[in-house]
Amino acid sequence: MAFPTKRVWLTALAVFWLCGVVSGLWVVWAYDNRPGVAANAPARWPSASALAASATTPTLVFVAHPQCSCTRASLDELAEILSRARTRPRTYVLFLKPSSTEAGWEQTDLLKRATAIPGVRVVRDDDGVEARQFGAETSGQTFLYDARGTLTFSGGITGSRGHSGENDGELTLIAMLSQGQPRQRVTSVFGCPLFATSE
Amino acid sequence: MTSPLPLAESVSVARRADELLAQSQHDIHSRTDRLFALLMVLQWIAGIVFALWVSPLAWYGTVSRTHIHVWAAIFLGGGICLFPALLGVLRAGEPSTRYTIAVAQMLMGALLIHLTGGRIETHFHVFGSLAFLAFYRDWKVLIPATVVVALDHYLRGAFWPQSVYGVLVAGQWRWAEHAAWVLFEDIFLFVSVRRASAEMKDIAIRTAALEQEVRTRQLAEMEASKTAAQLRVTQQQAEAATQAKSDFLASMSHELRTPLNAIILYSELLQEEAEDRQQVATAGDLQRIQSAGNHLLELINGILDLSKIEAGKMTVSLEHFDVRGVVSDVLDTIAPLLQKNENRISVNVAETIGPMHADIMKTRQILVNLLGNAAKFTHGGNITLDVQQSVNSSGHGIVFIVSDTGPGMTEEQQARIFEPFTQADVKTTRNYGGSGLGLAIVSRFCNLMGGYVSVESAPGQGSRFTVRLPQDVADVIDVATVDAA
Repeated sequence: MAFPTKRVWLTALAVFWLCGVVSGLWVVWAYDNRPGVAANAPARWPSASALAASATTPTLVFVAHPQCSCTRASLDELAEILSRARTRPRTYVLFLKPSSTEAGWEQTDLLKRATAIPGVRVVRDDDGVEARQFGAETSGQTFLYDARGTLTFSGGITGSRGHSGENDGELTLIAMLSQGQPRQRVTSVFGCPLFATSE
Repeated sequence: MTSPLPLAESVSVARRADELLAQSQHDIHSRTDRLFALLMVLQWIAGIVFALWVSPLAWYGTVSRTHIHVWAAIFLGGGICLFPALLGVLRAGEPSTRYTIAVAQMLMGALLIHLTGGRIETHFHVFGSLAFLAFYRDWKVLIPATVVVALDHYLRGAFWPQSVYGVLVAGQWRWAEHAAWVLFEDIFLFVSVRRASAEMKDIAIRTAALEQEVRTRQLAEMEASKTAAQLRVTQQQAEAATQAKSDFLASMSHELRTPLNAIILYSELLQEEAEDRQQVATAGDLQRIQSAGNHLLELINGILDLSKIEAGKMTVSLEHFDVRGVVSDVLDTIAPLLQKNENRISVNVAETIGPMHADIMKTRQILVNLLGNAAKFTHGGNITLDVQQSVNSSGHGIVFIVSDTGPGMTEEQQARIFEPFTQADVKTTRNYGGSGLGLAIVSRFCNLMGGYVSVESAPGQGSRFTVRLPQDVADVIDVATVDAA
């Protein structure tokens, strides 16, 4: 039985290598494009919420995990939406602060970045009480309630995990805030889970 | 201006140019492979550092784990980079290596773009990589790279369009739009690579032609050197042979002259005795012995002179002398010969003639030989000797013109008469005698003193020999050959 030549071995190795790296890339892409758990948002503004909804303009609530690197892209998109939308909503960015964590745990560059967005009210959400009011499960979850307190949008504002750039959620919100008509009420959200399974 | 090469040399130059081009391309491919090997490793490390910096951890509430991007940067990045980097080191210059590197570079671009969250700035990695791949000067390497980019956009557009195009449903040909921009760059790189390749080919042809020229020159120099060496050997052999011949002739001449002088002397004595005793027959025989001896002596002296000249041993002894005195001596010497053939002689020496500074013996010998020849070949005719002053570009000179009304010579005969042992024709020796050395000696003595001899003649029209000698030989000839008397 003849042994395969060096060329055959090399070709086989190259094919194996190519399949390996393409599979690896596929896994990473699949991971980043797998949406997080969608929120079970209340159709009306939750009355138990400590946040005050606006009676004259839409109110936007953005829930963030302060340590989630993927949320950086979501905050960038939020800034983009607010700068491009004709109607400026009252905007809350809730930063999760579990009581089990040390003081300052939530003081991250994400919080600084959110604070830097003009007109945004950054709120520390101890133990995720407010997030739970809105049914949020994933960092980057965004809600939009109209002036009457009716939910008009619930979802993510990035195309994939930590991926900046134009996406469906962003375009929907800009359209709703600019033209008053929703294109889509629900989009996928990409980010870290706000609560561990045990929480 | 370069002359066209013969067909065989053109083929050889073309083949060599192909070799040089292939070598040059292989060098460029190998060098670029090694550069990419280094770049691959650097990209791998950069990817890890970037992942650790931007997304070190993935969070689940208060629980964190290493982010998948970090693992992807380490293992996937390593997988993408290390295999082609290894090929770049171990199989530098192989076509499969650069094609693998091209694919890997684009896959690494895709990973880096992903690790940076799809930042538009990171997309420049793709365009930069294409430009870097053009370093190979092989446009074919751009093909797999472009195919990878197009496939990446096609597959992601098909499966996760929002992550690439920002919409849930992308157009069927949206991927082609992105690939077209890559092709746009490819066109410029293709033109650039083709031009660079053409320049490389041109350089290879020039280098091959130059090498051929150098090789040809070296061969010619070697040939010339060999020929020069052979010539030196031949010259040395010839000089040695001439030296041996001259030594032999000098020695033999000396050995011959001694007994010959004795023969001539005793034949004279015996002839005088025979005449005194009225032994007419014996006196005639002795006269013939004496005449033959004198002829032989003359021949030996001529040979000795010639051998000395050719051996470079003949020197010139300069002294000041009166030309008229020399002419008078010469006329006395040849008077018997003139009388014998019933010739008349007229001598015209210009009044302005001054003294000469030359070799008197050789001057005298020149005139004796010329006048002797004229007297010998002319019967009942006229012989003229004109001596004139001459001034030309080489300075002052004395011209001796010997004319006769003898049989004259053809042009062919004139061309040979100054060669040793040569007379006008074979009948000459039989009819007139002589050794054929007289005019050869005249010619060489003239040259030795910086002068010349020439002849004008025609059959039946007589001959006219012209000798021009410098008035002061020391002004003309190399002092080294002068034996200052």
